[in-house]
Amino acid sequence: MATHTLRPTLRRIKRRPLPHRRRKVAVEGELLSIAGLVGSPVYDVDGRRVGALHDLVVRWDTGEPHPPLWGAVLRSRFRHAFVPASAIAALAPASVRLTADFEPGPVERHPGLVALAHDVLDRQIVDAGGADIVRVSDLLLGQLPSGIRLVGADVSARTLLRRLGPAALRRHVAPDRVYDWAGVAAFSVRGPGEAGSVLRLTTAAAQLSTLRPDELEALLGDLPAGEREQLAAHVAGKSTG
Amino acid sequence: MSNIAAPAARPRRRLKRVLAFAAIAGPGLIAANAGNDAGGVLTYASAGAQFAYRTLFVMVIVTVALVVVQEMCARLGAYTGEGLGALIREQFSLRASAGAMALLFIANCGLTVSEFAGIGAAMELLGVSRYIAIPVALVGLWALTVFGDYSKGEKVALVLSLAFIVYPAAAILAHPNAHVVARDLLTPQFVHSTAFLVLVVALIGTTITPYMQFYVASAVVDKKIGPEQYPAERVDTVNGAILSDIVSIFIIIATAAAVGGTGPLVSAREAALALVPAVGSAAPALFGVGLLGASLLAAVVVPLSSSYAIAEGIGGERSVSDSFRRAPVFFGLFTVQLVVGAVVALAPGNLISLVVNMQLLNGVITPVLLTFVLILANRRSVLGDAANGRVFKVIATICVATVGVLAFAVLMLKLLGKA
Repeated sequence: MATHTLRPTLRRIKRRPLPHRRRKVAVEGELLSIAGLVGSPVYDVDGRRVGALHDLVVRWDTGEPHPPLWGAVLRSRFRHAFVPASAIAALAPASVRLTADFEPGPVERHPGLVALAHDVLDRQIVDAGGADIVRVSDLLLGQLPSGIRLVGADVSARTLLRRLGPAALRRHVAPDRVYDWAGVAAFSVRGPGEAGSVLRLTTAAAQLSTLRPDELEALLGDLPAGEREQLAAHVAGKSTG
Repeated sequence: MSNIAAPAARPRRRLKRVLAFAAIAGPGLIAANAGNDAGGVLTYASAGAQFAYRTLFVMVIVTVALVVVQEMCARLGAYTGEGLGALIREQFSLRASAGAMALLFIANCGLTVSEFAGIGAAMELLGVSRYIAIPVALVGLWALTVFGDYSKGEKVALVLSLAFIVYPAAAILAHPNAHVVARDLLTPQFVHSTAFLVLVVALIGTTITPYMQFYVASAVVDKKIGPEQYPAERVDTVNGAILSDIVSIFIIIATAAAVGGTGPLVSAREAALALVPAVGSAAPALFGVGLLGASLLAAVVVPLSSSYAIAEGIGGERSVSDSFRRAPVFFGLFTVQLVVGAVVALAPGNLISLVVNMQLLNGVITPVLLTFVLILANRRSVLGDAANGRVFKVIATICVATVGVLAFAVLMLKLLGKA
């Protein structure tokens, strides 16, 4: 089985050396592309098609560097249903197989959960080490010893072009372009209910307080007003507290 | 607005007043005035030359649509803090976003062509061959933007383009038939010909350009205008749109009074005749200077705005102060547009009809991109309580649909070879 070592920080950021050498993460087996998975067929244990994959949900607020898979949202005949991660028997690049005893439930939204394809893909993330804001071209799930987790993000323009192509190309992952999710300090998601977007700050956000003031200012300048205030308040709180 | 329309009795004082006004005005005004670029001026002049005052009513309607559209764009910028490139990427599928960006790129390549054609036409009026002027302008503008400080050059170009402030005076001093002007402004005077329809779409394309919508939204974001400052910004945007169209209407009136009804405009020298009532024999030189300034200004702003929107959508660096190496997508796209613009404008042929055709291209693309803007501004998930209300939704949809139907008709006529 192949093992992929993820890139610890964005290659194009060369502003200054990283604050400390980050632990490299090795992922066993295949990396699964969220952009490629969405829309794939979902089968039950007998191989009957029960719907299409609408999104995958991870739990991001557990304090771990790699958020664990929480469940999947299925779409069948204009209805959306949620199945927990425990009911997912197998996750392949182009299909999802459920266990025998799966029970679809209502789709729940709470702040600790984030739907990857709809809330994070194509939105902005804040890099902790290199202090930059980039847009997510793809998100990658991988098998870690502790289970299936969100392991990385791809922010390259080449991956965007790949996604414009046919489905087979869309699912193809280029592991050398995948950037470790542990280096993501914050990600922007659709706001709850009405408002525009809000930032979700991860544990890596603590590293942002080590940035020089001018770096921090450049970083904040690239964010929309609401998110800018949110991040500025967070960094201010960290450095005084 | 009344000082713009005042006769040229004391030109210096009027200029001062206009400058003071421009200084306090915000991005909306600057954006709308930058709309009177080479493409705009030559297309409005063409309308006046070919159909005299008959397109005036169309311009009144177009102004309403422009106000509606630009208000939506400014609102999207203020409430989300993101430009249209980023919003489209976040809110639509990647393929739809890529399509929108490709169309914006094509439209802006077309506009850049017309700006270089404007530079060529202006320099020919001033006695320099376009085969010299256009390559020099290409190299100069590129180097100034990539290596130098573009903002200084921008100010010079802006001052040159102020020459067009003579248009309202020229329009009034030409003593056009006030009765006819009033009638054509207030009642529809459609001419039943494909040439008229084509020109109407070109007028829409040059007034409600896709580039302008992206520019307005980014300018609001750039100035860090948020929901609190938005009410003042809205006034600015609406005034800017109206003011710019009033200048456009004066261009049509002045040209119609000078050479109205003589058929399509054939040269910049003919367009310059419209300024004779105000400045006499200096008209060709003044028109040349104004056209040069407006074209130089837009030849950089237009390709920059599409490079910015696309880089924003992709998520790359996008500032003129970055280096080429740090922002390769941004500067790469900028360079491509500039080169395409200059090369096409160097092709032998009538510069004026080239310019009008490029506005037509914009007119055909405009409704597609306006649909994106409309959907974004309708979505409560994007704007919350600031999303389009029911009445506004209806008005905006009618505007976009009308532009769409006209553009589609012209596209079909062109494809069938009837226009």
